[in-house]
Amino acid sequence: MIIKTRNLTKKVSSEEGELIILNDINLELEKEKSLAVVGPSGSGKSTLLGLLAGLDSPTSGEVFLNNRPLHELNEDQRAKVRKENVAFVFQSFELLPGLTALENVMLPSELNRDKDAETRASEYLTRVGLGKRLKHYPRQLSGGEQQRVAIARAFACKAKVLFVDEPTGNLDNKTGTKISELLFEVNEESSNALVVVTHDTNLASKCDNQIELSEGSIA
Amino acid sequence: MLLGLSLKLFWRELKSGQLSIMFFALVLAVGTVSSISLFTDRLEKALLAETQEFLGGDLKFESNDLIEDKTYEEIQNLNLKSTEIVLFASMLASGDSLQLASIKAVDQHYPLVGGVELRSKSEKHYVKRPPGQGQVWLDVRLMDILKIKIGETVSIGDADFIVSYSILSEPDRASNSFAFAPKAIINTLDLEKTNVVQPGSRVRFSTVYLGEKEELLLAKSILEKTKQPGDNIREAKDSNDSLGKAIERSGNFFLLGGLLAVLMAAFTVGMSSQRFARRHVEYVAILKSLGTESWEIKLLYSLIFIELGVFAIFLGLILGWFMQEAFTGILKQYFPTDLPTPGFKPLLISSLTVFICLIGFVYPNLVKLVKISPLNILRREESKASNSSYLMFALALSAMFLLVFLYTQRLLLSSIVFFTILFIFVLGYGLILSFFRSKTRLGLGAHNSLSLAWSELHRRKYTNSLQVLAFSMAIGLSLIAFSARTDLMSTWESTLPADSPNNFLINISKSDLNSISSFLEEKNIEESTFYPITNTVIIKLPKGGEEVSKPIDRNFNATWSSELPQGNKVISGEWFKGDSSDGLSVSNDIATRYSLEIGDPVKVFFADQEIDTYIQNIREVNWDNFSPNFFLIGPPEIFKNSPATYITSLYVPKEKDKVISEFMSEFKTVSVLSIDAIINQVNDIIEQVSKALEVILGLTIFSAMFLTLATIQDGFNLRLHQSAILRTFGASTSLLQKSTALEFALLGLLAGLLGALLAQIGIFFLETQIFDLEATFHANIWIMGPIIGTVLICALSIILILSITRKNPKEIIYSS
Repeated sequence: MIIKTRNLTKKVSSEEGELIILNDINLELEKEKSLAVVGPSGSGKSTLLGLLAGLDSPTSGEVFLNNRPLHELNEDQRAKVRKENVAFVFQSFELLPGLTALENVMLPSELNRDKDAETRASEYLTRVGLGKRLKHYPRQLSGGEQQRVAIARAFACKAKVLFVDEPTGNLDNKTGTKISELLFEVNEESSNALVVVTHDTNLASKCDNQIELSEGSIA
Repeated sequence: MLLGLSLKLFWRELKSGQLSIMFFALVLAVGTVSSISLFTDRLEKALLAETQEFLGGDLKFESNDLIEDKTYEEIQNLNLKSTEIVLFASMLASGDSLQLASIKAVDQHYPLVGGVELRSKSEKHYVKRPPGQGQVWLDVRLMDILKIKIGETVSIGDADFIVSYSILSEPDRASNSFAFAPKAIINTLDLEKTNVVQPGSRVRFSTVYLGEKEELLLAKSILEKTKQPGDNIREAKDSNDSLGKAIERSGNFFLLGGLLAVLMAAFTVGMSSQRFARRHVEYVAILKSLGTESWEIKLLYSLIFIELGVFAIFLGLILGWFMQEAFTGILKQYFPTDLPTPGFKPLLISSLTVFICLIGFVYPNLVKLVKISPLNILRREESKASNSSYLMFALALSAMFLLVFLYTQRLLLSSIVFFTILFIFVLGYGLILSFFRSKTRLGLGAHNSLSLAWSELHRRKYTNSLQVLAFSMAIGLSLIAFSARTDLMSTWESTLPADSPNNFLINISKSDLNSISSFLEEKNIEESTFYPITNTVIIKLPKGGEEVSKPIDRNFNATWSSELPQGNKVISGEWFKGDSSDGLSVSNDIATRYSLEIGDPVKVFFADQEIDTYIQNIREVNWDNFSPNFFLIGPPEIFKNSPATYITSLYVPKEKDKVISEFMSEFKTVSVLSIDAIINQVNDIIEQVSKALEVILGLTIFSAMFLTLATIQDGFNLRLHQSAILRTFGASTSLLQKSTALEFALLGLLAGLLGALLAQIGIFFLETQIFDLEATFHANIWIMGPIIGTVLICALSIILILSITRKNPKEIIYSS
């Protein structure tokens, strides 16, 4: 198993008292398989993605990523696990505006001290159709192009799991479809596990497994 | 309604901390400017009062003759208060003791301003009247010499007087005639019976006037018309007065020192207002969508900034008041009296400073904000580069110039300072920028903290260059002030020859010469030349095409000698030969000031004589050699019949300090000036002034810190976002913390090194141009500069580091 959770729960305190964001989530994902997490807004999809990727720590329960117990690790230890195992694609792309497309894609490889960072980044940008826009800054690219850069960045990591949060949420239908096709194409080539949080039923249907969240629990 | 809304918004923004940096930068600017202007304003007022008392009134006319009747009547019609004073030298006798004294006869209106501080047997008195008839007030020194007490009798000429008081202080001390002789004051009504003042006697008549400005100007113009060579007109509020000018110059100098702090504050305000405008884009969009007109929005935001300005002026003035109290405390010992309350000038200068900053650096951002269409704003589209960028630039430059002009109030000086600042800014900024541009490697350099730090420095090169420039200037100037206080004075003192004279003996009478020589010989002190002194007036006589003689409008203390004094060098003409009975020698600065050339005919007045002669040679004088130096020297033959007092200088080793006290008790009429005491006092003044300057420069450092905070705040969201992305992809907190700390340490180190370089250059000019020393390498500033820079900027970075690593990356990404 690349991902495994046991009774995963996340609570936050607010002025009205304690809020349960996720309650008793149990799931497993095998290597090279994909999982779609669907559900209405506020159902806890993004929180679950954060916990599975080690961006946040649970209130109780266990979460394992590539057999590492994320629930027992501190922020720096989780960062190390992320560096070695995961990559992300976000709804709002999250590119660094001061870096070119090439530099943005190089970023995770740089953190891994990969000497071939530039070559690999260049290859992946070419793979997503942006071979001629390497030196463009995010502000010089369209929304679809920016998401392609984000996808190239995710795959350039050589991660074991790719976490994707609403990848088509900020794009029009046509571009969204192209992006989701590209995502699965490249993922198939890279043999990663894939966790996709989405509202898009078309995109969810492309995944091997699906879970639906409702008010913090698996429906 | 708009006012209410603006006040509400202003308080909300201020409380939320969004206006804090801008607000505190403005408070600091007002504090800096108001402290300096409050201090100089009070000092100028004290000086004016002091000068008025020093002169004895607002206008003083001194002459060797009585004012002509016609002139006297003309001035009488002007309704000015006046008092007439007669000054002359005469012997005072008491029993067997005789002493030459300076006698001041005063009329019933004396004193016009202030009062005379007197002492009877045990009490002090402050009186505003002349001595009664038959009474005399004497200097304490004179009473000691004559060995008389209050109530005893002294004779002046044919009249006897009862000593009613000793004089502690008096107004009208500004007379330079007979200044070295101890003083006695009598009533003018007693003058005649003394029979001392006879036709041909050397008498100085003074009339002092007090009144309104316009009438004083009229009186001055009347006196100017009848002014003769040797006559003197002096005004309390004389723009040429050297002390007044010095204070004005120091005020301007301090304000220019403060200008740097103000300019940095202005940049801070500009940068913070840019951020403020960005944050208010949506607010403006909503207001516009709801139908609020552009002018209303502009007015609303203008009101917010006016409120900010008024509040900043209020708090800044309070800060300024406490700071000027601190300056006053530091320099208190040099003020003759308590400083008077300030006028409105500081408030005016502070208010103008704030509003120039707001108009020059905030208004363009408001214009830009209000101009954007609501659709642009709601779609978050970048507005196209518009003319407002040029407006911003032009207004900022104009504001800078206006600020400089406000502090110097001279167009030419303002232009020089403005373009110098601009030049230094462009040069410094360009140099620093080129340093940060040198990075060529691709990527963010996130593989280690040093390369990430360097990459960050490169990517934020524009704001970083501004910060480095601001800090280098602040650190550099502080190091110069520190060095002036510590190294320069001691280095300068150590360059003086070990046996250079350290005491001047002044006012030696001819009869004392031999006994002084014997005294010095007995004490084994090497004596140097005794120079005779007499008071002279020179008139340049017509020559060639010139029709009218051109008086040199001042008195000179001249000496005579057949030998060229040590430290003097004839640079034009020839020194007097043998028993020369003609020709004069003038110093080169006097020759330049009065356009005197070799061979120019001149008339010299001294004592009761006048002699026609010419300029025979021009000398270069070394004024730093601590020997008596003279603007004017003649051959002994010319002055052989002139009355004279003598001056000399001598070196008294430290172990023989007591000799000076013994000398003073033996030769009571001789004044002793100790160079050591003067050097100590100069040292002390430099140290105190440097302390005051360091306070100003401390504010400059604070301004630089605010500027850095503003730039940090400006780029904070970008940094936060970047750190979240990096952490998402696995960057450790320690990588980010180390790289941020290194980034700021490098900034600080560079600023410190450049500051040290700036200080070394500044000190080089002080050493070579002011102190006439050999330039030296100051290792201490090269250690202090980088340490100060690194520590200060690193301290600021801690705030940033904690803010960016405390938040969870997921929260940052999902909230952006």
